[in-house]
Amino acid sequence: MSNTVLRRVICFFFSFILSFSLFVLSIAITMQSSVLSKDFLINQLSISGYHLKAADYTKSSISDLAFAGGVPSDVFDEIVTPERVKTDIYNIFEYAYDGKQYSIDSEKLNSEFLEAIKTYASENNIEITAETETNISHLADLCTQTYLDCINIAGINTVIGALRQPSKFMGFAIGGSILIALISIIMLFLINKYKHKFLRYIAYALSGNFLMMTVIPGFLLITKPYVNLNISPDYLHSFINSFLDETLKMMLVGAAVTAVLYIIVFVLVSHFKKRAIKKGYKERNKNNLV
Amino acid sequence: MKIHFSSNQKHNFKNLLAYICMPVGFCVLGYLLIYIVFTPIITPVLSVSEMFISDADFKNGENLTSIFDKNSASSENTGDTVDMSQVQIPSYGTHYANLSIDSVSIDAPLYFGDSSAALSQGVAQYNGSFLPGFGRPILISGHNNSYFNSLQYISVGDEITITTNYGVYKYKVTETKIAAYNDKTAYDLAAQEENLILYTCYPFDTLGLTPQRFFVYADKVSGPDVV
Repeated sequence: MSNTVLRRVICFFFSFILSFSLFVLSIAITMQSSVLSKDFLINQLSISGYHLKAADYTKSSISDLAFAGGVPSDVFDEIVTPERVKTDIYNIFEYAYDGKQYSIDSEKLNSEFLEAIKTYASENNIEITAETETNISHLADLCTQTYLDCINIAGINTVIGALRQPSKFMGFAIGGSILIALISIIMLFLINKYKHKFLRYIAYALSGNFLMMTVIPGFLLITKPYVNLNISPDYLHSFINSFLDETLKMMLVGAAVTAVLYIIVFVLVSHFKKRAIKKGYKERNKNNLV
Repeated sequence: MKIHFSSNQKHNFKNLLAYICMPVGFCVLGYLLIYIVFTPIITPVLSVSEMFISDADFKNGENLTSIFDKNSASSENTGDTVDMSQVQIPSYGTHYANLSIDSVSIDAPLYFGDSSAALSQGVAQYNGSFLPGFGRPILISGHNNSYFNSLQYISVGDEITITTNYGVYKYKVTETKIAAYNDKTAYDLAAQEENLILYTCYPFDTLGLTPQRFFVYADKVSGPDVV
């Protein structure tokens, strides 16, 4: 194997290592600022209008129950408010990110439902007998349970707990990939005598990283396989969809940044190559130009 | 004719090829590396995700739909049988028929699946029971303060009509009774005959959710059998 071929193989190797470490770095940064970020999740909750949709759904579910129990739906309007739903939902997510379990004060909620039904009964001169007292209490219990079912998300602590696991390794992944990238850059710099050759391998690495950051996230964003996720209610489904959409878009933003860097490096390659030719390098090293 | 390229052209072509092939190669190698390293994680994650992803478009279970066509319903079938191919099996939350009892002025849309949403819009059939014409029990519920309020005035011998897209079914009331909400002997869905069971909360016109149910039993009188 000639020295030129050996040099190219080594350069290819370090260029690939650089490309892959840049990819790991980009993914780690994207995950750190999306899936693993509490602020990002809270922001997505707000953007997708999760609490408003959840409030509507909860209200409608409780209205159906109220209807079954002979109580007009507006009797519970002051209890199931968007503000209350928002507070509870945000607390559930924030507590889960902090590794804690948020519990809604169901006793307080139950007594509010009970009170609202009794107020309605007294305002409409409906007599409350011992029998109806039990029926009303049963309705209040079911309304409370429905509220809890609508607001709580089954397995949220487990899911967020699983999401938080990679965050322990993110510092290591970011630090490690930066170190490997720097070593690769130094090695490429030392192996290649001329700047344009060195920069060309950097350009290969950047464009490789661009492709890795674009192909699968782009494919997922176009085909959206997660649209058919069998998750209900509707607001949870749309939240998960918008959350995944935004995460994939962030990856594409990372790819766009790489593309800009690639263009800069590409321009520099041309610039340094022209300069090298001007210096007469081509005449002296005819066989080593490629 | 043989085309000759100058060494400069060859050199430029090689460069261009390198700018295309190297990134593609890196991308393929990178993905391959990820696949090899993460196979133990990717495989179970994909199998689990397959459980949650369906081929059909996402449909919110709470959304009510309708396949009932009032115009075709009465004229469609007057014979003794109807071919299975003419029967559109309703999905959960679908308004597929109308239920009427002239003697007590009940006329309600009939939904398949007894969700709260369906019960607020009409009367609802338990989706574990059978459709009219299938020769098996049909279990239908309704709220006692809306569509089934006047069920309290029903009598033995009254006629109940279920109008579907594939035929009109008539049933005659044989019995009414009051039972506990959890009394499993109040109906038998495994029975091998077509009977209609309607139920609602009891007592009527009361506040709250009651622990008793008012049952109405009816036998099939006419309507095409699905074959």
